[in-house]
Amino acid sequence: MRVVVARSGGVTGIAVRWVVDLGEGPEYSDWIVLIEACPWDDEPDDPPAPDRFLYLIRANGRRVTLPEQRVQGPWRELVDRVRAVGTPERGRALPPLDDLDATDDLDTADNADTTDDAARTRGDDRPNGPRGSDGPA
Amino acid sequence: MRHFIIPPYLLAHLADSAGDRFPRAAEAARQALRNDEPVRLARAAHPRYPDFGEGTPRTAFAREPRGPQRTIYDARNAEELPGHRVRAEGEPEVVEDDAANEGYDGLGETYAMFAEAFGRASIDDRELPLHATVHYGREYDNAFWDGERMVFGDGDGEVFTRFTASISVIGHELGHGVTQATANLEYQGQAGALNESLSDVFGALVEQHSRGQDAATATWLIGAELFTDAVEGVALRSMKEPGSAYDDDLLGKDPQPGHMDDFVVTTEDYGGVHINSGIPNRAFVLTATAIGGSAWEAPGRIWYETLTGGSLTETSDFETFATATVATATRLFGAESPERAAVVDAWATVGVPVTE
Ligand SMILES: [Zn+2]
Repeated sequence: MRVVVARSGGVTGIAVRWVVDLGEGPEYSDWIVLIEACPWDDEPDDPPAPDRFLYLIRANGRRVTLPEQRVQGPWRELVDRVRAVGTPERGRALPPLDDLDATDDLDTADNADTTDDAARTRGDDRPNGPRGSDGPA
Repeated sequence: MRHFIIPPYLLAHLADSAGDRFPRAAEAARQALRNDEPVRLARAAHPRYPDFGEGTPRTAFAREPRGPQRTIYDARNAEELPGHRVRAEGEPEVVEDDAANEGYDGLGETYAMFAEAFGRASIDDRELPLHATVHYGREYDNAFWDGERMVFGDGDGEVFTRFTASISVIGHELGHGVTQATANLEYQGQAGALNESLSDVFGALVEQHSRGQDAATATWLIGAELFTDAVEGVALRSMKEPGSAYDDDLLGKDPQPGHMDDFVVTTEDYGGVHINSGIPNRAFVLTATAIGGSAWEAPGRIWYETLTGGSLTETSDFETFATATVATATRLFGAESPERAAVVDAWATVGVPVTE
């Protein structure tokens, strides 16, 4: 499974993206718990605020767009974790997000209409694998 | 009215806003301001201002602005605002805190440009106190205007240094406050790119005004102080040559277009507001270099009065804005003026049609 945090905006206007490809490592179920703790369906429609970052987060067949002010609680935990593990890629030469969607679909094709239950099951199906396989692939 | 000496900013405020409730006070204020007309307005004499019936020329405000009321706060690397107060107006420098002192000085330079060039009394034209918070967050690569105050991060130290280091960025953030208080352009799509561009224009004008640079010698760079030595680039943006500010292994290439043919369609950054701002940015530089002299004078005034003049809506697009700048130039300088011609040529060069 691929987790993407794409940050755009800010006064610099320089986009940054962190991508983490999760294998069946020991932390896989932790990631799933964290991902599923996020309120994916509560996408805010706050009016845009000048020079604030805009986050697009994708994981486990879901996606959400959040202004940085809303990156709180489990969202903040998820974003900080992805940033800690993933390598930042900057600038506009990044592949369009739709290309990342396609890659993500490869991993989650069996899971396109993920519900909370399905995601939990999927997490449970993949408990502890060999260590060290959850870094960027 | 009570009898004490009224500073010009207050006269101007009365002339502007007292009309309905206190018509005699408003007229008295207008009369006082007319008697106090700055000499440097002579070139733009009244007969060339047929539409100034609603008030006095705004630059008449500029003689003795009351001055900024600044307060600097330190977030101490947390993300809570406003943080701890470290310096208020008139207090000595904060020992060993460059960010706090740069923020204080930058707010002062920004206040001075708006006051002296446009007669604007702070962000809201009503002497709003200026608050800024420095050391926001950890390795925070950003600065923003949160609707009430400016907020500055320290940068990550690898790509970006502290954001207070750039006076054009400080002016940019305060510019967002001015836009919010006036046309309130929504921060999305073309209106958002105009919002961004106006902040870049004001940021550049603050820098040029503080350094005494004219349009020809100015750098027209935004955030020239922010990159570390590790980055191949000169600034965040080049208003003069959009797309040329950086080309770096880590950052990629500056994506700004300088012509409508290259307008970027994207869902990121609220429709690429920091990217497509390159187009109106370049139009301003073309206007300013064609007119010559200090860019905060005629060119800045055309842009400023377009923003504040009431003809824009929150969703105005490039074409609406361009057309409005031509109308402002006509009103201020006349239909046959070189100033108006410069504006028309500039928008044509960047591919934005002007409807007349
Ligand atoms: Zn901005």
